[in-house]
Amino acid sequence: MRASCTVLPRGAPYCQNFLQGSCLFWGYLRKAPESSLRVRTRRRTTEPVNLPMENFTPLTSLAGGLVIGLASALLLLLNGRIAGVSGIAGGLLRFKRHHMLWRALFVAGLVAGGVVWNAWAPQAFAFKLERSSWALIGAGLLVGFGTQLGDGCTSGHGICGLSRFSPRSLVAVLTFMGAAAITVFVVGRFFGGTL
Amino acid sequence: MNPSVTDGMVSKGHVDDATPGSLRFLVTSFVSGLLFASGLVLSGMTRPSKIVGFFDFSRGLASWDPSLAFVMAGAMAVYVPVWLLVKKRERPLFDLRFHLPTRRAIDPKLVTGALLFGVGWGISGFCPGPALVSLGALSKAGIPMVGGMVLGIVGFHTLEKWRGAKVARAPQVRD
Repeated sequence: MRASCTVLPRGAPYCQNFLQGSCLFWGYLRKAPESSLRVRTRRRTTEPVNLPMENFTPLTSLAGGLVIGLASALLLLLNGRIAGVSGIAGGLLRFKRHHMLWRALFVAGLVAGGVVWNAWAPQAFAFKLERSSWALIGAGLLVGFGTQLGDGCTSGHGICGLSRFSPRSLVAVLTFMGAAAITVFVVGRFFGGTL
Repeated sequence: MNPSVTDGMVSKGHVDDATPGSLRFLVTSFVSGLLFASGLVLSGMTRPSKIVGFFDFSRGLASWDPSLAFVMAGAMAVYVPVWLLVKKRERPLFDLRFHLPTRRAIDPKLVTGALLFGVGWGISGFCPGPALVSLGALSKAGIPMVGGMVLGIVGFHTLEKWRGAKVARAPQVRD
């Protein structure tokens, strides 16, 4: 892979990622053999890179995005609610009587989706990222607290808010995207990519 | 956005604000959650390394993974037209009124919250949706992540109560 990158013109490796990424992910969904997964992670052994390179999957990501949009649009058009995961989960955890059942069902749908997809295509949850449970719990605390304080996450502010042309959501999205980028930089630079 | 149009639809905590318990309303909620999860899985967002790959510019453009942007674009391509349609409607199909976020202020709370969330997102590569889906998949990372999230959410609301922050902000519809 690396050798070919140096020979091909500038845009080409990008293009390769583009195609390979899509194919690989479809491979995942069809339970690709173990060997095809290894190819991906064994690339680039010369650099002290701690985070493995992910393939760009434009087609499946766009398709998945359309499905997410459809799910959110259904909730808005039929039920009149914003499909913000943190907002729905937050309401659920505050035990507000009248708004419990539909929230519980939405969250149950998300979790059930995980159960079903894991049974059918467990590779969709496979990733290589060195994170201890403590780091994840800490991250979870930040995500939980932050989304409640900031009134939304990637779904509520990101998809629904931006689509509704909300300036408030735009500020939120730019802020959390910036914070995430800086965090990834710091983790990669000063913690060697592991936490 | 025309505020007068939006204000007309905004929930103000009136008596007819009760959530309908009709079967179709509840089925829609569940189906929407299920579809949402499928979209996340299909788009690769249940693999945190793809999120980190999106924010990792250290290896140059050729190995950057812009998938997240494609997910957002795909979702907005569906949601924007539906929103434009919804703006013209009096009420959703299965409820009496739209329940939309009422807050407009861009204040320190919003920015601080988004900052904290962004840091957690950057550390873990999980935002709340994929975290819950991963919990269903019993993924090793999903379980501690959701555990922390629940603590964070409950912690926030406990703190709010403590501070005696009166919830005078109508029905708390969150983004």
